[in-house]
Amino acid sequence: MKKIVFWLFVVLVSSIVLARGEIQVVWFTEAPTEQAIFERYVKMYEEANPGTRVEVTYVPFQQLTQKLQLMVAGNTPPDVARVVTANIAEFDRVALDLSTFVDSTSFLNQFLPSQVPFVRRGSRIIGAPLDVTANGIFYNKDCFAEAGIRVPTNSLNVWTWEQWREALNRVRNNSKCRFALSYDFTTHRFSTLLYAAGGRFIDDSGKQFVVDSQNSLRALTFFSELFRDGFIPRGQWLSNDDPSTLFRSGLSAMYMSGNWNLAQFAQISGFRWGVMPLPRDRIRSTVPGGKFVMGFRESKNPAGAARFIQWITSKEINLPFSRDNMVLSARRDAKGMKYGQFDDAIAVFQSDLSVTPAYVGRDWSNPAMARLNTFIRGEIVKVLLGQQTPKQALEAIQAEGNRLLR
Amino acid sequence: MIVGYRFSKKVIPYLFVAPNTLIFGVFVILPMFYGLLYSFYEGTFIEGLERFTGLENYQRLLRDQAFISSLVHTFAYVVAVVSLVVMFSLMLALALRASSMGSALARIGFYLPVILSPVVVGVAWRWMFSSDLGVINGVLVSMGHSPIPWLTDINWARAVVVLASVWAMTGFYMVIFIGGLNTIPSELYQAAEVDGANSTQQFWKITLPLLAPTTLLVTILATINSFKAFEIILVLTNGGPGDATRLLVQNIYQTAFDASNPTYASAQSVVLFSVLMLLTFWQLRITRED
Repeated sequence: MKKIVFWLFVVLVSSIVLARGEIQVVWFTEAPTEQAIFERYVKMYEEANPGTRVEVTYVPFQQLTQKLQLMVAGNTPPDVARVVTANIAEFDRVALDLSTFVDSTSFLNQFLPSQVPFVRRGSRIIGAPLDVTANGIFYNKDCFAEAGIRVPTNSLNVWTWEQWREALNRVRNNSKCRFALSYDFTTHRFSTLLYAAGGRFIDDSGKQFVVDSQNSLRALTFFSELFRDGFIPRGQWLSNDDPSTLFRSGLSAMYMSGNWNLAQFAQISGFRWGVMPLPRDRIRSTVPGGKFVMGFRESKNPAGAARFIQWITSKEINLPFSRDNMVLSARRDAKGMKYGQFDDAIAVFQSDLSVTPAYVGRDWSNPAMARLNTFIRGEIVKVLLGQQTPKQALEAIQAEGNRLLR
Repeated sequence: MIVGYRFSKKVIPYLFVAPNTLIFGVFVILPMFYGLLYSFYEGTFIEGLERFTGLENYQRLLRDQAFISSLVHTFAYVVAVVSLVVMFSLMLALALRASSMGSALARIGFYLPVILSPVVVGVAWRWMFSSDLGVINGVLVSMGHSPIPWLTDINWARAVVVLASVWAMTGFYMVIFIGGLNTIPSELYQAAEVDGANSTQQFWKITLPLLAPTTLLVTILATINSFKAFEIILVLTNGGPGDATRLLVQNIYQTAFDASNPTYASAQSVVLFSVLMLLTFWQLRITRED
């Protein structure tokens, strides 16, 4: 009996010790290279912290939110998760407050000011920025050359929407690209046009939806015309066709997506591609976002989580990590960082980010946007199907948004 | 001694069923109970149950256009799929009931879709019917025809979804029908032939009436399965275009995870559960009568 009690005690103590030395991470991946890169850094962390084991669960991006929701609901959240803008707002209330582990001011000062509002909630710090994302347009250089179209290369000669429409028409009719434009099926990507038209979703107070405006109407009308005129293949917004595949296979001349595709597009060998500045309407704007790392209040190892988050966002780790993944680091001291063959593309994204109004980031850091995403997309699809007018769609989005904010 | 024997005789059967009952209780009954409980609350995955709302979620269902249209789509889908599945599986069973090598091979061929994952079925059909990149439209265009908006037109998309589901299900019910056909005594056909009945008359007067219990079973099973359709449609159209092919299960899924509203999704699940429960009782009653 004594022996049994002794061994039970040993098992109990060792499991507590092991639990303290283990960090459970949920890491979403988009590009095929991401997992191998992260595994390399995990090994570095384990070597630098003997006795600590990092247990990683990799999930595809599409399953990230559901995975975290279920883990939180089951009271078994991971210690650390890599999340996007929408998630960090959604998991705000269950997030680990990093301010109890770090000096808030010096910790936040490491990061670009545009990324700080996403993680600061009053005196709490609910995560740390890993990298900055920006929506943008990739284009097939071969098709544009074949059609004899010069593409803007910097902020001085950005296309207007009308020039863009004309270019879409010419490239479709005069090149081997069968389709003019691929467009991600997300509210976030649609909103690129909304902001360029001078529209926005939520007012400065964060308590009122103001999307039902003339500017927003102009954006949604323009977007629906791109479908009506056959520039965007209807299957991408009406039946779940993958826009990325169409671009990567050389069938689409342009692709509205974002800088996170760079690593994946590095594998393209069938044609030359580049990134063009986003066309302007009333203003120039992209939609900033980012990837973040966050911990969870009820996780098993909050202290370990805080240490890991500080490590992965530190200058020594984050800069090479960002370069390896070909993403824009969220650190201030990353300015001027070189990405080799992708320097030109990165410069275009940075240029678009530099002219983006601050309210764009504020819109997307509002938790209501995470809950409204699918609804907004559904209302836009109804417009594309001719089931309602753009005006009716905006009214519906505004009403539902205000209902959620109340 | 006798007391011990009597006790064991009473208790041991319960011990045998206990593990199964426990698993069923934990993984089926308990979640069901929780689902029902959640449907009377407001809450999210993150915040848990926030407020008891009574029947509010159910009242909201009555004016929720997305729920109502998904319910209507589900009933239309079930009617279309079940009638086609019953018809095709019966036709195949009649054609392949003979025990020749050719029939056996054909039966295997028609049964193959059943063992495929629904996701694979969805991907394969998508590959064929994609409006922009599909094989079928590729062939049509190469022959000088206009492409057909298979998955981007509301009516075409509904037709493709129904056909894909029928293709995936028919093999299974074909096997059940073959089993049913084999129970019909061959003497009846021989007697009918002697009486001068042709094959059409034999089908209507002998096969169909004697196959009625099997047909009913197939109808009920196909109905229950169709009500739960999810994966094929998710991969094939994601419920689109718009919400034209969004069925109840997908609506529940999106309400829970996309709109982060698990309690309202639970209320929708209770409605689906009630419909399936009624069907199951009906099936049990008919099976018992049979």
